[in-house]
Amino acid sequence: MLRVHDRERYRKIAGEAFGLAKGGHLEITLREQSGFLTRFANNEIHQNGFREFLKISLRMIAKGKSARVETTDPSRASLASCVERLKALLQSRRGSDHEPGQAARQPQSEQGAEGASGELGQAARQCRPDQAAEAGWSGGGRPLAHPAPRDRRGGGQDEPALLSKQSYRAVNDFDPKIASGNPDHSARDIAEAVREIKKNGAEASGYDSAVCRHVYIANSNGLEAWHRSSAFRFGLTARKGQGVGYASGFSAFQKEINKQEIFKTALQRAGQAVLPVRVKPGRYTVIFSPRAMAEFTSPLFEDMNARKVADKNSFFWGKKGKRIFSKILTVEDNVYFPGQTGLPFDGVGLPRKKVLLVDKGVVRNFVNDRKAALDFRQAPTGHGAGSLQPSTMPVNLVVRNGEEKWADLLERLDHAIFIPHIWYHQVTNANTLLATGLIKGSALVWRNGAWQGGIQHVRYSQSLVEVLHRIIDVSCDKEMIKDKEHGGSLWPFTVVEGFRIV
Amino acid sequence: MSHEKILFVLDLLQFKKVFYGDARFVHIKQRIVSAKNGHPSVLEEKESLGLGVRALKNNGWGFGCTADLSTRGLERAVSRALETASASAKVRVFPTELSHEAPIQTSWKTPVRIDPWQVDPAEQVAYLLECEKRLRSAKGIILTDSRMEFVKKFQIFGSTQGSLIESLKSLAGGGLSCKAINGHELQKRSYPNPSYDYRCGGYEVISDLKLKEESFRIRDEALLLLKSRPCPEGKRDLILRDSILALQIHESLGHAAELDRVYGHEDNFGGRTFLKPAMLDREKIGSRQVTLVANRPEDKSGAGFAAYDDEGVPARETRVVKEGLFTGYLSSRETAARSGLPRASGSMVAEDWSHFPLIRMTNLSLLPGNRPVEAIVSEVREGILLDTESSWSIDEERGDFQIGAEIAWHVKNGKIAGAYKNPLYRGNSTRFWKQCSEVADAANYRITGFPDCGKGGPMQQAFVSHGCSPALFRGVECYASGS
Repeated sequence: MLRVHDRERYRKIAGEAFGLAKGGHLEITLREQSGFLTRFANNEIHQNGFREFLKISLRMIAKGKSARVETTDPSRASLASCVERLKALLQSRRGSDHEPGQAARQPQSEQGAEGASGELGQAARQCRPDQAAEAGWSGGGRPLAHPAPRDRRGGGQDEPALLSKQSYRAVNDFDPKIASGNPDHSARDIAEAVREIKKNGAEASGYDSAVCRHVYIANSNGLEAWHRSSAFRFGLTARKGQGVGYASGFSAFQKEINKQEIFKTALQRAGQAVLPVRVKPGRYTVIFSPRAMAEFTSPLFEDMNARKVADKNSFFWGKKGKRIFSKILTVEDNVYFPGQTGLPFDGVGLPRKKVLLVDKGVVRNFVNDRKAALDFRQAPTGHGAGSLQPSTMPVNLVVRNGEEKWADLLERLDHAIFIPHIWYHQVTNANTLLATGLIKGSALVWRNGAWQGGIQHVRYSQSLVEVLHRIIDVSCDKEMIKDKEHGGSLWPFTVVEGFRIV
Repeated sequence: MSHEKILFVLDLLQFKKVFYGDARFVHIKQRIVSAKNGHPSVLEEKESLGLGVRALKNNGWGFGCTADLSTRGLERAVSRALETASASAKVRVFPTELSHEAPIQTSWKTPVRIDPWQVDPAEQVAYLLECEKRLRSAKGIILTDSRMEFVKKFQIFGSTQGSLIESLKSLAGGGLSCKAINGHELQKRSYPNPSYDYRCGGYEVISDLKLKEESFRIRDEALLLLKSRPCPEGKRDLILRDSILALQIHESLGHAAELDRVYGHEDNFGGRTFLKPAMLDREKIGSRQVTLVANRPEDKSGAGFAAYDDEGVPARETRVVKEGLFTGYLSSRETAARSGLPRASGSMVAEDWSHFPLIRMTNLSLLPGNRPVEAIVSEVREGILLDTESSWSIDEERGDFQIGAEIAWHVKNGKIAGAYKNPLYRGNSTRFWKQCSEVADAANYRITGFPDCGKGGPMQQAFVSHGCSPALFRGVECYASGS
């Protein structure tokens, strides 16, 4: 049985932490997960296990500086220790306001002095907890209900103050049936897939997983946000002779995962690729699967971060308002779109907004976190990382679909290569976003209205921007691609001309 | 956490008549300090503790974990492991056997001179700010980044076969980078690596890394790249410095030597391997200069080092390649037994208590040669010397690859004659390693530690390390990104 705790349990932990912080400006994030993953290879299960954890992340702000401490232990003693660590770290952070090399000098601890030598040996010092208060750490001892009028929520030049209470739109991506998910059902489904695959003279490797998650954020300024979600995933690689077929599926809802359809697709693709076909280096019309396109464009969208653009550290610097992609391409970041999944708030509890990133090929907007929004006087988009994601970036991509099914798009093409999945995709030139990678498994060759066979070890090298400029069509059918803990991409099948195979 | 709790879990597993079971209590402490663009950026401490249980019953593997170390929590973790083992047993083909290991009761820990937790983080921030100040001390540098990180991993491992091993592994690492801009062109230099460099040890590792000392060089090289020509296309002699050779070892031979890839365990994610069992002790995959050793006893400072792995197997010195001949895999007890190998290599590592252990590289090093790097470079008439990885892409069997570096130095008649930007080289693993004509001597030997080797599902990160001296490869296809 898979289950995560309810909000009341998190509230209790948060309340305890706020009490221990004694009026300090504290934010608490709880991430709980309960799930299992079954992996199979060579037609048998080789790895199977539950993964369950609760991670508690505490962030304290004082005088515009912040520090973060994370633990997996929700006990009062652990929370008390975290709060003490935060005070000490903040004190250190204030010390670092001095010019380099003139950091606040404190009494050398016995342990720190032992064995200390040279330049870094001089650094072996420890601060006392009471020094935190001496240095003006937060509003020490003041009750939460009566914050000081100045520095009201700990904010300052470097770190915005804690948010106040916010309201959120709902995202419905929780299936109560997750509770009944168990590895026995998973083994049964895998056994069924393996039986069919063996019958077809093939072998398979893949995974089946079910996970439920609960994220809760609260702060001492009255903000409280929570979201519970479920995720069902199934994917496999089928091998038949020289043919390799890949297919995968994700849904927040059990009934929407059609495992039979997925393994049949993988098997069918392996069968279609059995006959080896040679393709010379050159430019080809290709159809990217939704997965391949989500993987291919991932480094590009990571650059749609307002801070990176302002720092000239993004390809999109100087490109806002310019048409650099195909007119067919319209992309938004929208967690509320039907079929999307994720949190309706960001890492500090700011409500996630829908952001139009690309409109008919024109670069329109970037996402920001709260500090960037304040620094650049922009409307906040609610994409700050906090402890929930590695950095500020679009996390819920929705690409506008076309009107025809991908099978119909294919019928209209004389010659095309289908790309199911890509592998080791890397940007090799940050200035042009030139990227290279390989097609994973077999790419399928379509000619004269039929699949001709498969090609393997296909390497491409092309600018991500050029590829998106060369989109000539997108399908009406879309798939949700979710590889990270939160968020995902909703992509159609995408037809690109002049794709460069090397 | 007392040993009694581990013994309690092992008793439960034995009571449930498992063929084999093990339990790992893991307590990880981490401190991350970073600065960005001349200001303090991250100041963070993380702590994670819990227990992971593995059970092998009726030929099926299962795993459970918990952060609740009460009797109830431990019982639940065991029951989760048994539940998944029972499910696995329903879809098994091959009988599971484990290679022999004598039970062992011992403890080990990393020698640490300065405990990083006894150092005021203000001093650590100040050190980084000084690095940043140096990086930013020239016009044209627009972005800077610096970081140090410390990890302590305390673990008690116990198995139903009688092993009980207590360990305390300490790691420290750091690095810096800067970006220079001219119009719309951006160039980056990092030191020691873009993902930083980690070693076993305490705060003393940071001074050994010489971040401050290298800041000016990194700054100047980023600016130099803006004025440099793209790396010319063509076959030429290639000298890889240790910083990028470590990546070459990692991607083209390290992952390829993982025995679980032979059995397709990573087929759906990380791929398979070109190193087929039939090649073992028969096929040359490199020149005579190439000898690659896992768990080399001299490399205990490498970030991947652990005296015992996460199934209680000692870090066994394993020759993966001996003078060019493929001679060994990195293995688990299960895959070693299945392949008929007498012993596992001691390569099973889990990211933390909540993950299933997998075959990982730990320490994998290229043995040094006999001559100093200067002597080798002096004999190159026309070549390039590459420093610091920037991109890597390799096929599913770890054969064909393309690797990029941050900077290329033009070597002409044995001397450095200028810099090239955006260099890339490509090749095929066996062909490439056969092109290795010389490895520099032990005086140039350095162990690079990566913190972010990703593998498996759920994706696990591991610290791995590679010792090597710079090496010369003849007639390698080189070009520039975008050419």
